Amino acid sequence: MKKFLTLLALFSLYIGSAAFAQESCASLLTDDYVSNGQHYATKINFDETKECEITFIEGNEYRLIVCSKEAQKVQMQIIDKQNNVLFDNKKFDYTNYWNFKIKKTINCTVLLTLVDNDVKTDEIILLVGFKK
Amino acid sequence: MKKLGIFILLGVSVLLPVACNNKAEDESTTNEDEVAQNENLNKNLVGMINGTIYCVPSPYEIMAHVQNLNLQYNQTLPNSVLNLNLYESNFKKLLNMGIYGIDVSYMSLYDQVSEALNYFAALKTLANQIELSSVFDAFTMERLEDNMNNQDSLLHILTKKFQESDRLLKGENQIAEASLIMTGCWIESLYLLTQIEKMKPDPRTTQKIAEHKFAAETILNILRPYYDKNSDFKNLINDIVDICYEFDGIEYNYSYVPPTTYPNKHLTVINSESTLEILPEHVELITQKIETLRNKIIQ
Repeated sequence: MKKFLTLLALFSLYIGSAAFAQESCASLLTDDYVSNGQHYATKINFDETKECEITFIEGNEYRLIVCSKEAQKVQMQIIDKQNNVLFDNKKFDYTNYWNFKIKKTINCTVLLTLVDNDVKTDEIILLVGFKK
Repeated sequence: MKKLGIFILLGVSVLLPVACNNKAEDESTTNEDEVAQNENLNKNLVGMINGTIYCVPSPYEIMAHVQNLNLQYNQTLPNSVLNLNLYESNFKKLLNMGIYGIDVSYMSLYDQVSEALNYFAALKTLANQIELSSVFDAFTMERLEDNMNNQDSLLHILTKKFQESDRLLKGENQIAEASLIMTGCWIESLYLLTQIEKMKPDPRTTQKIAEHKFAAETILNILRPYYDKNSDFKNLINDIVDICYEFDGIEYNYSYVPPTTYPNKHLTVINSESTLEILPEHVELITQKIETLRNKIIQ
């Protein structure tokens, strides 16, 4: 099974980005998580929000990780299609990772906002992993 | 099954990193039904980060499902490595890199090691042909040979090499090319699933096929910007649009239920309810259409 999972990781499609993100983000994707295969990087300005569509599949546990080059605070929110806020890391001191257990398949939007007013512009990365 | 069970056991036994938050174990139910009133929601929603997230029925989920079905390995399902010479255009090479990758996952599930190695060789050939030869250089091949009997090392090396390939493509701003590898993965995943459903119909497999509704939309969104790039892209996208019509018939119902948050575990349980209602005719048409598309790509 381990071999099989490693093989799946072959198809992890990573978008190349700065080394900072590779290191800080990847270290939070611990051995018990497999990357979903993508690595999202974008430039972002202060108070700007970027969004990503995401589908969580039932029965899985996911880990979302957000990393930035300079900013200490990047707000990460998960909202459903009815605009209910399912998670907001603002309540947890802007922690840069969180785990989600999914009871039923759900389409959501991830919102990432640069809220550190010491940083005018930055580069952020989002990683999604799922528990083995 | 045994291996899967052991693996799951290992997975859950690994402690998650503990949050900076040192509050006592808190199983408080956090009702976060604040309808998005945050002012940030109303401004600067400037689109997605490099497209939508491909967080859909993953190869892992599909293979774990296949393993649960206790089916025999079917050697006719993977795309033959003998087809390798048929792929002259980069377009087909990239798509088939994705396809072969999923096939390797499938055969590895059944410990088809020697066959898997042939597929790795095919992946290397394709990588070289799309000017990623630096990734699979002589040193790498030597290391692979040295580690032939050490599956973990072997696969670790290969994993790194594949990621390197992708990074190079993306670094060269060849996002379209990288998207094709992803599309190949998706096509082969859905193909395997539908073929397995044909061999051994099972409501759980039907549900897995239904879940591809979201993946199909995602793949379409990823490819859509390249519609006018050339006729290959145009035809591929048209075929996927055709498959999406069938997925459109699958009804998705959602109802919000407040999530439960466990701060000290860095965990939120998403309790919302949903159903995916797929009819047999959807399964049949999706099976036919994905098979047709896949055959176009591998031949």
